[in-house]
Amino acid sequence: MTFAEYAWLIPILPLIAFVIIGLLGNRLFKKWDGGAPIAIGMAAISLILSLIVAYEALTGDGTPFVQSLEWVVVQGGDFAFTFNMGIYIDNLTALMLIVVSIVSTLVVIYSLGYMGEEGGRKRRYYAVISLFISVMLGLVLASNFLQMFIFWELVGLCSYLLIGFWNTRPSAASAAKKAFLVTRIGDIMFMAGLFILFVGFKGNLDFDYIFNNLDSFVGGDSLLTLSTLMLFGGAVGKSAQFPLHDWLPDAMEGPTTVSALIHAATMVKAGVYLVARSYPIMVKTPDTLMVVAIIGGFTALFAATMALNNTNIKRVLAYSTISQLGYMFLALGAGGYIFTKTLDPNVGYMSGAFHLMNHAFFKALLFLSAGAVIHAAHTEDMRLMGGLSKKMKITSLVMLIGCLSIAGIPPFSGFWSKDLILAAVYEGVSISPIFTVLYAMGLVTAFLTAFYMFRLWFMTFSGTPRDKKIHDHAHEAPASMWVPLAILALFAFGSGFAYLFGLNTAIVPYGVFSMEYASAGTLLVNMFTDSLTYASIIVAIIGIALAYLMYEKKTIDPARFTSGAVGGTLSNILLARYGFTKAYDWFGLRIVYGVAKVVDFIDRKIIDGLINGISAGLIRSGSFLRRAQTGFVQSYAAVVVAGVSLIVILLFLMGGVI
Amino acid sequence: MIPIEYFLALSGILFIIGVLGVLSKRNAIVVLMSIELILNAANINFVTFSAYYGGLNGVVFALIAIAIAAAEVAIGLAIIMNLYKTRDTVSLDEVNLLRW
Amino acid sequence: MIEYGAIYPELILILFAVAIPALHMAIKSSRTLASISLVSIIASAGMVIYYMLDGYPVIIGDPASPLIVFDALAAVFSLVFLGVALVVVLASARYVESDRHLAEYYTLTLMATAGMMLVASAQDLLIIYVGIEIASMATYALVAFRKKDKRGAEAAVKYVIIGGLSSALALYGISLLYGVAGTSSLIGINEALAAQGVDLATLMALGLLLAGFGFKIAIAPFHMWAPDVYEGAPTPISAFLAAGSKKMGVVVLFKVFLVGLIAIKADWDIVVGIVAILTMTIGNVVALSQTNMKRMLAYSSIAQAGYMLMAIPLATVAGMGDFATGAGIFHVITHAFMKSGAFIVVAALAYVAIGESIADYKGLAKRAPLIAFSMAVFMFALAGIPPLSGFMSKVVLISASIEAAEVTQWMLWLGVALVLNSALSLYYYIRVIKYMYVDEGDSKDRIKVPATLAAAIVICLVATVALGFLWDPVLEFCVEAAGTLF
Repeated sequence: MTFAEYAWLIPILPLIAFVIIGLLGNRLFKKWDGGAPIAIGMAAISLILSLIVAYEALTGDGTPFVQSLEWVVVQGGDFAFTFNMGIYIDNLTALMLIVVSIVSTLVVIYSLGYMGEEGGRKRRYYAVISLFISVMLGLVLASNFLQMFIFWELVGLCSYLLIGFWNTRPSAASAAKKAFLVTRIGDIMFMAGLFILFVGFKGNLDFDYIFNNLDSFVGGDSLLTLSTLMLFGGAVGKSAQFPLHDWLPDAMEGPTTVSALIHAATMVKAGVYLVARSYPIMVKTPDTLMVVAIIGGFTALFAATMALNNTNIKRVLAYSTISQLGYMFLALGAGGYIFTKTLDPNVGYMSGAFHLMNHAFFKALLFLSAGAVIHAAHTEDMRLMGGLSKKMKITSLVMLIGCLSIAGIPPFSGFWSKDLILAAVYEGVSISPIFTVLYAMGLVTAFLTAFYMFRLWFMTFSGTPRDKKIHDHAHEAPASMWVPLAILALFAFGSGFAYLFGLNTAIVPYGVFSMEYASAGTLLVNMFTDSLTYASIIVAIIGIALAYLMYEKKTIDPARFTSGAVGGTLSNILLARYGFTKAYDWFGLRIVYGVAKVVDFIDRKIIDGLINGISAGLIRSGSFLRRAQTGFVQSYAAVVVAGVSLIVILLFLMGGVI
Repeated sequence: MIPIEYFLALSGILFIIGVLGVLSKRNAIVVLMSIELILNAANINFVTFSAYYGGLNGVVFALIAIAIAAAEVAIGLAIIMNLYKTRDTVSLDEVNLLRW
Repeated sequence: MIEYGAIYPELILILFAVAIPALHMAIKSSRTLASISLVSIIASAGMVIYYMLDGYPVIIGDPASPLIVFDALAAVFSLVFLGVALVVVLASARYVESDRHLAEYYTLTLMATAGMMLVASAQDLLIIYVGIEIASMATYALVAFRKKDKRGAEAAVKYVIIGGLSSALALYGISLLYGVAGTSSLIGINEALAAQGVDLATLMALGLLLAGFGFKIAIAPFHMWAPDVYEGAPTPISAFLAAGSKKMGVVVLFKVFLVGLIAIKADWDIVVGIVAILTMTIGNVVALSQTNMKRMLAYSSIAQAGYMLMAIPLATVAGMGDFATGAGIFHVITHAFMKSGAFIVVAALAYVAIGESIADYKGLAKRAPLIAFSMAVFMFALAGIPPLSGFMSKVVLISASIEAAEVTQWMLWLGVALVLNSALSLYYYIRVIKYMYVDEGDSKDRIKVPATLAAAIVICLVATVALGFLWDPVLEFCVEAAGTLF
C-alpha cells in the first residue's frame, strides 16, 4: 500500500483545524463564520485521503496494514511491556473511515446553515467538532487497545462538551453530565478488560500481536471470557445498550448536528466497532458472544417500544438509534456464536458492519432532516407540526427516503443489512432455542421501527397544520443544509447495493474466516428465494400501513391505545422510559452520593490529614534541625568528630571483611 | 632501635589531645594550636613510616605538610585578628551571629 | 629534564595572580583588573582546550606512580572551575569596586582556581593535599575579604577552624594510609590494598578521609559550616565556594575512592551510600524552613552534594563505573551553572540594595523581569523541572541507579531517595518563584543591574537552558572523562 503510509495524516488534519480555530481568537473569525471554512476544508481533505486509503484497503488482499512507533518500552524480565502508537488498517477500518469521514464532512457543511445564528459561540462549536472528527478518526485507525482507549475517552470528552454546548440551559448541562457519567461506567469496564489483556498478553496490546498470538494468553479461558465481557461492557456504555442506554435520549439536548454526527452516526458506533475489532478474541469466548447477542436483541426491541408514543422528534430518533445499535450487536453476537458452534462462515459479522454503515447514512440523514424541520419550526414537539411537506418539499422527500430505508423497504439500504441480520440470527435456530426468541424479537422490532418512523413522518409532514403560527413561519432549509441532505439521501438510498458488489467478501474478520465470492445475481436470487426475506418486508409494510391508518387516514384513533386503564398505564411507562431515568437518579443520588460522601470523608480527614501531617512534620523537623545549627563553631567541630567516629564504626560494622 | 609502636602511640596521643583541644578550648588561638597538634601527629606518622619503609617519600610529605601548616596558621591568625578587631573577642562561644 | 606541560594551565593563572598586585600600582580600576583576570582565565581555558584537541601532555612523575596527569577528567573539571571563575570574576567587577585591596581579591580568586585545577589533575595524595590547601587558604582569605563586616569576619573564623580541623583529619588519614600501603600514590595504594586487604587502620583512614575531603563538598555530618560561611561571605565568593570549591571536593572523592580505594569497595560502598542519602535529606529538610536566600541556597547545595556523592557507590558496580561517574560529573557541571547563577542573582540584587531575605523578593517579576526570569529558571533547574539541565542530570543519575540496582539491589534506594528529595525540594524552590511572581512587593520601582553582573547571569542562564537540550554530547564527554579513572 502506498497511500496508507500517509494515513496518519487523516486524524492530524482536523486536529490542525481544532488548534487553529481554538487558538486564534474570535476576532479573526468574526467574518469567517467562526472558522467554519477551516473546519470544512480540513474535514474535506481528510475525507479525500480516507477514501483513497479505504479504496486501497478494500481492493487489497485483506492483510492489515500496520505501522507503528514505539511509545513506551519497558524492559526487564517479567515486567516488560511495550506501548506503541500506530495505525492499523484493515477492511473494517476502511469501512469506518468511509462512514466517519463522509458523515462528518457533510455535517460540518450542514452546520454552516444550522449553526448560522449562534454568533460568538460558533468558534467553540467548530473547534470542538474538529477535535471530535480528529479523535474519532484516530479511534478508528488505532493500532492497539490502549491507543483506542485513549481516543475512546477523548470522543467521550467531545461528546460531553457538545451535549452541553448550550451550557446556559440547565437541562443541557445535566444531560452532558449524565452522558459523561453513565458512559464512564462502561469505560471502567473497558479499562478492566484492558488490564486483563495487558497481563494476559505479557504487556503487549497491539491488535497485530494479540490476533496472531491468541494462544499465548496466560490465564485460561474463563479469564479471557471475563476480558471480552468487560470489553463489551465498554461497548454497552458507549453504544447506549441496555442497561446503560438512558443517557442517549437526554443527549438530544445538544445541537441536532451533534446528535446526527456523534450520537447517531459515529461515536455511538465505537462500541460496535470495538466488538467487531476484537472479533478474533471474541470468537474464542462464545459465552460473551451469547451475551452480546441477547443484550443486542433485547435492546433493539426494548428501545423501539419507547419510540412508539414519544412526541419529541429527536427523542424518537434517539430511541431508534439505540434500537438499531442493538441490531448490530445482535448480528455480531449471533453470527459469532453460531460460528463458534458450526465453524462455518456466516454473514453475522458482515451484516453487523454493513448495518453500521447503512445506519450511519440514513440516521444522519434523518437527524439532519429533523434538524431542518426544527430549524424551520423552532420546536421539537411533533404535536405542533403537521402539513410541513408543502413548505419543505426537499426535506420531506429526503426524510421519506430515510424512513423507507430504516423501515427496510427494498431496495433502500436499510433493507439489505436488516434482512441479512435477521437471516444470520435465523441460522442459529437449529442450534439453540434462544435464537428463535431473538429472531422473533428482531422481527417485531422491524415492525415497530416501520411503524414509529412513519408515525414520525406523517405527524410532521402530512395532514393539516396543527399550529398555524409555526406553519406560517416554516420555510425550506438553505442550500448549505439541503445539499448535504441530498447527498446523504443518495447514500441512504444506494449504500445497500454495496452488498451486491463485493462487500460480503471484503468485510470479513481477518484471520477468522473468509467468504466465498458470489456474483450479484446469485446473491439476489438467494435473497429473494428465501421466505424469510418476505417476512421482514411484510412486517415492515404492515407497520407503515398501521401508521398510515392511524396518523394519515385517522381511521384508527391513536387515543384508543392510551385511553384505557391498561393502555394508559403502558403509555405512561413508556413515556417514563420504564422508570430507568428515576432508577439512575436514585442510584446516583442515594448510593453513589452516599459512597462519595464516605470517600470524601476518608479523603479529607484521613488522607489529607496524613499528607498534611507528613508535610507539617517535615517542615517542623526542618525547623528543629535548623535549631541544631547553633552558630557555635565548636559544636560544628564536635559534630565533625562524632561523624568521623560514627562513620568508622559503620565501616567496621557494615564492611564485613574483618 | 625503638620499636615502631612507640612512635605510633605518641602520634595517637597527640592526635587525641589535638581533637580534645579543638573541642574544649574556647580561645580561637588555642583551637588553632590544637589543630597544629593534629597536623604534627600526622607528621610523626609520616616520618615514622618513612623510616620503616626506607626511602624519603614520607619525609618529603612531612616537610611539605609543615610548610602548608605554617601558611595556614598565618592566614588563621590574620583572620582571628580581624575577628578581634570587629568583635573585640577571640572567644568562640561569643561568636554566633550566623546561625540557624 | 621534567616536562611541566601538565601544569601549564595552572601556571598561567599563577603568573597572572602574582602579576596583578604589581599591576595594581598602576591600575586602580576594578573593571580593568577584572578584565586582566578574565584574560588569564580565558588563556588558561584556551590551554586546556588546546590539550583536549591536540593530545594530552606527558605525565609528571614516575609512570608507575604518577604525580600529575592532565587527562580528560582533569580537562572537564578544569573547564568547570575556569567557567565558574569566569562568572565569579565577571560578577565581582562591580560588586567589589569600592573595596580596598582589589588586586588581592582577583589574585586570590585566580590562586584558588589554580589550586582546584591542580587537584583535578593530581594522582598522588601529596598533590591532592597541596592543591586543596592552596584553594582553601585562598578562599579563607576571600571569605574574610570585607574586613569591616562583622558577619564576614565570623564566617571566616568558622571556615578556617572547621577547614583546618578537616585538613588536619585528612592529613592524619593520609598518614595512616601511607603507613598501611607504603606509598601515597593512588594507584600504588590500590595495589597494596588489593594485595593485603583491610585492617582497622585502613578503616580509620577511610573515615578520616571521608570527613576531611567531604568537608569541602559539605556532606552530612560535615556540612554545618557551609550555611554560616555562605551567608557571611561576599556573595560572589559564596557562588565560588558552592560551584567551584565544592566541585573540587567531588573530584577528590572520585579519585580517592574510585582509584585509590576501589580494591576494598565492598567495605565502604554502603556507608558512602548512606552518607549520600543522609546528606540530600538533611539539606532539603532544613532548607524548607530557611528565610535567608543565601542560607537556603547553601542548604540546597548540601542536598545537591548528596546527589553528586550518589555517583560513587553506583560507580563501584561492575561495568557501571564510566556511566555512573559520568552521570555524577554531568551533575557537577549542570549544578555549577545553576547554583552560581542563583548566587549571582542574589549578589546582583544585593548590589542594588535589595535584602537577602526571601521575603525581600516579593513582586520582583515586575521590578526586574529578566533577573526574576533567570532566577525562576535557576530554581526550576535546581528542582529538576524538564527540560532544564538540572532535570537531565537527575534523570541520568536515576537511570544509573536503576541500572546499578540490577546487580546490587540496594542501589535502587539511592534513586528512590533522589526522587523523594526532589519532590521535597520543590517546596522551597517554588516558594521563591511564588514570591517573585505572585506576591505584591512594597516597591514597584524598576531595578537596574550593572551590565557585568547581568552578563554573568546570562552566561549561567544560557548554560542552564542549553545543557538541558544539548545534554547528549556533554554527557558523552563526561562518561569518556570518567573512563580515565578506571
